[in-house]
Amino acid sequence: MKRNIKKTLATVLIMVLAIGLSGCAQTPADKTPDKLPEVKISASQGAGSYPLAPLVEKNALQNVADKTTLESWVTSEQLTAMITSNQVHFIMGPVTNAIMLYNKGADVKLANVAVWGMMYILSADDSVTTLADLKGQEIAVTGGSNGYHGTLIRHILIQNGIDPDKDLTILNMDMAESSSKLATGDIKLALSNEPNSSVAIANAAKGNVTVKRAIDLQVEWGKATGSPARIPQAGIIIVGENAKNTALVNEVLKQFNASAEWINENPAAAGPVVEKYFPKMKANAVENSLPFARLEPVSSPQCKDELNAFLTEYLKTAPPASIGGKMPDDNFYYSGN
Amino acid sequence: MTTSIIQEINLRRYYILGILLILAGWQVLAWASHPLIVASPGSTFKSIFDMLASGELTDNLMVTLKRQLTGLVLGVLVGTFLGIFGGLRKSLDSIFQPGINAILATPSVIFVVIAMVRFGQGSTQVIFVTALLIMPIMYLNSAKSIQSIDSNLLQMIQVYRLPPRIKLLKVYLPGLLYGFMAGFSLSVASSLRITIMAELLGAQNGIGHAIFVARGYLETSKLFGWALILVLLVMIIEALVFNPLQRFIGKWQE
Repeated sequence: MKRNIKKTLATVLIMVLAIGLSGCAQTPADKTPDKLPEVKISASQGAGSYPLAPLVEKNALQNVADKTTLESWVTSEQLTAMITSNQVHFIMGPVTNAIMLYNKGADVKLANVAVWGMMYILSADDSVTTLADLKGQEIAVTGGSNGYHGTLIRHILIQNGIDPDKDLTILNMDMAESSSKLATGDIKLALSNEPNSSVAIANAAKGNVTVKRAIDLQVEWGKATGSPARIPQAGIIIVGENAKNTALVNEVLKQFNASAEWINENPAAAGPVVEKYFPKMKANAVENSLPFARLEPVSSPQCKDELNAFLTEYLKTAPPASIGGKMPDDNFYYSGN
Repeated sequence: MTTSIIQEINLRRYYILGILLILAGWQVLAWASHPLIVASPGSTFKSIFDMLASGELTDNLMVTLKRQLTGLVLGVLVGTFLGIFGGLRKSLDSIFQPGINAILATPSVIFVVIAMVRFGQGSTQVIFVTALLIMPIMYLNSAKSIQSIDSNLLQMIQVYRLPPRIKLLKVYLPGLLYGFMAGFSLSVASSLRITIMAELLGAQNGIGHAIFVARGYLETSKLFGWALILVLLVMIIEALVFNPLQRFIGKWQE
């Protein structure tokens, strides 16, 4: 009996040590300003990731790295894990997630805002064209009413004198789910990103259901808040020490901008390239989504004022906890030195 | 008698040792990890205390327990009721089986989404999903326990022409209770998990919703706090409800 306990104790201690040591073994990202063997970028499904595909296809970062690899991330847990363990150099993702992570002590900086709002309310019901038409309806929103998308809608509705808790129902449903439910007629309204909107519209059309981008959330945001029809939605997030490698970051920004410009000018050619690296974003959907994606990258710190103005407005409805408690300070913005 | 008491005290000591080991391992893990990934025991207990002070804990707990109990009772009643018929008649069992298997094989989150579209967000949806997923557990256990009643016993009752009252009280009821208890013990813990899962997406309050928000806001210590509360909750349910019940039924069966 006693020996058994000793054995168990020893096993537990070994396990604890092993876990502890594996944690210590993580090395910070490369500090060398010289050419890197590899740059790793992890990207979310969204229009902000389009420019990364041609960038990798052309090996556009060859001046600073031998090769560039792209991977996809989906859940916020993946995002947190990648950042806290320095698994990648850059991430394309939602700006609010980056702010939250920054405020919670994660070592990240914002390199740019690439997408200035790509959110639309999709409707399978022709009669819905204005915010007032949403009254009495159910709308599927990823993250529910307290998530980022839900909060944006709530803020806009409140500014328009509509009570988001009483006058309509916000269902918590991810975009893939709500797209298929739109096509089957189970729901009539859903909030969606690009290129998911294009995918949803095309899928619904196959079943003879007409789904349209009924309401442009950015336009409504602008009207409700007296600001331009833009929402700083997604951008390049620099992970850890890589922000000190200014040659690398500046080259990434430069090539990203060039790539975004090429995509906006050549939507038809861009589609297949994007699909090659992100199989879930179909070439047709990518091409069709570009007029709605507001892919107009603005580098840090030039995007700071507009982002701060947005956050000030956002926090009128959002709880401070939704961005990690406070406005991000200047250190959040990559400054190039 | 005295030796068994001493043994029990000894076992309890080891139990406490087990808890301390978990705490120590957790603390070491927290030191080695980013606080966004693993919250330390200290910050977790602090967040539980904060939630207690603000009333967040009690409010959500009450909402969730109410839903869980309602769903559990409904699921147990319907499942046992159908299970008795399925146990008595093979043909009925064959009719129910495909439905039961379909419910068991489907990822439960699919039911949440369907229920959310049908019933909207809130208690109705959560209770429906809980009852729906508890029902097959109770069905299978009660049907099987009735089917496995010793046929010799039944023959004996027939041969001796014992009254149906005896048949019901001395043969069917004890046989059913055995499966019922097995199913019920599984259902109590499962129902809590199912309720919270249904609340994650389809509710505006309750523990599941609180977990969803804490996850979205990267409040790791709160997330760990809720996990710890759930572990304690299951332990309390086992100690206060299940164990006494089992002891009672054990005595009754003797």
